[in-house]
Formats: sequence, C-alpha cells, structure tokens
Amino acid sequence: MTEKEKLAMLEELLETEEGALAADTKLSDVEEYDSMTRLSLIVMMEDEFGVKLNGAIIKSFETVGDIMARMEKA
Amino acid sequence: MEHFIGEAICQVLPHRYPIMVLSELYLAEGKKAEGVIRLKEDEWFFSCHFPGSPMMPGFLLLEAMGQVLLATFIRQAGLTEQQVPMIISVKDVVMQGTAFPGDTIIIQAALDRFKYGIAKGRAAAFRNEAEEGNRISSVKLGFALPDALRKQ
Repeated sequence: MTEKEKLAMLEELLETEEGALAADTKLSDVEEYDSMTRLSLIVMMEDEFGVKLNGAIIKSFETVGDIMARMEKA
Repeated sequence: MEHFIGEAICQVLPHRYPIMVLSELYLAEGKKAEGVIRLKEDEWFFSCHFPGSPMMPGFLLLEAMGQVLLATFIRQAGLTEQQVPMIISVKDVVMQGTAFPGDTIIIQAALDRFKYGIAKGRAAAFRNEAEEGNRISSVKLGFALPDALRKQ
C-alpha cells in the first residue's frame, strides 16, 4: 500500500477533507481524532491489516505517520 | 419506508417497556428513521417527574433519540438477541424544551456513517409538529457494536 493510499484511508476514517492529512500531521491538531475514531482505528487495523492495537500503542501515536507505520499486513 | 406500531417496534429494537417509549417507528433503513411518542397522562415517569408538574424527562428523550437512530442500522449489523450496540459518544446535546402529558413527540434521526462496527448519526426531537420552531432537543450520537468494543 502506498503512502497516498494510507493517507486516503485515514482521511476517510477521520472524515477529513482529501489532502487534509500528511505523515507529519500531529494527531493533537486533528479535531476529528477523538475516542470514537480511535475505536474505529482499532477495528480498521484489525479488519484490514490483521494488526492488533492496544491502549498503550494508541497512546504512543503522536503523528499520522506513526499510524501509517503500522498499516502493513501482519 | 417501513412503518411499525406499538409492539411491532420490538421486531427492530431490543428495548422493552418501560425504556421503550416509542409508539410508532418509520424506517428507511441505512438512512433515516422517524419515531413518534404519544405521551399519555398515565406514563410511568409523570408521577415522579415531577409531582404536580409532569414533563418528559430529558434522559428519556435522549434515550428515545438514541433508539430511533439505532433503528437505522441495527438490522444490517447482523446481531443476535444477546448482542446489543452501545452508545459510546454523545455530542452537541441541546435541550431547549420539553413535552407534557397529551403531547406528541416526533423524533427524526439520520445515520451519517456505519463502518468498522461504529455508527454515527444525528437526531432531533420536536413537540407536536416536526417544524424548526417546535424543536425541543437535538444530539449527535455514536454507537459501537459488541465486536468493535471487544477489540479495544
């Protein structure tokens, strides 16, 4: 999966506009990144990539790129 | 659009009396739903909310808005009777009025998104007529299916 495809997937999940996110975007600056989208992220990562995320991993995410780094098939 | 009256609403929603307060449900599944509550004088909550000044409790109105929104997607979720979606997010709650014995409450709900076991949508409640001036409450709600909650 390309970086562009990953960004598009996250933009769809976060319901942000196309091109709103970049790898270096800080998650603290993304208003839509709330507890509900974090739960969606957990389910998406498991369903689409077979990657299990726990609370500690989620907490460690600081940028969009940190999430993208995990978006690889397990 | 499907139309359910009284007990038939239990074919769609898992709630039961006294938490189920809807009298009618109109359903365009996956998109929109409209619920109708006909408030009788002897509703169980009027005697305690409040003695001498009966009115629809806000929490129950919020619950009813959740029920109508839930109706828009619960059947496509493919759940068993033991699996019940839970409200995980309540945002932008506005309570700007209430309803009284004899009133009819109309609740309109729209599903914005249902993906990865998470549903998001909006609901608004109106007193007697579904017109902007009669709006008594509105809310944005999020639901999670049991499978999504287990993956946390």
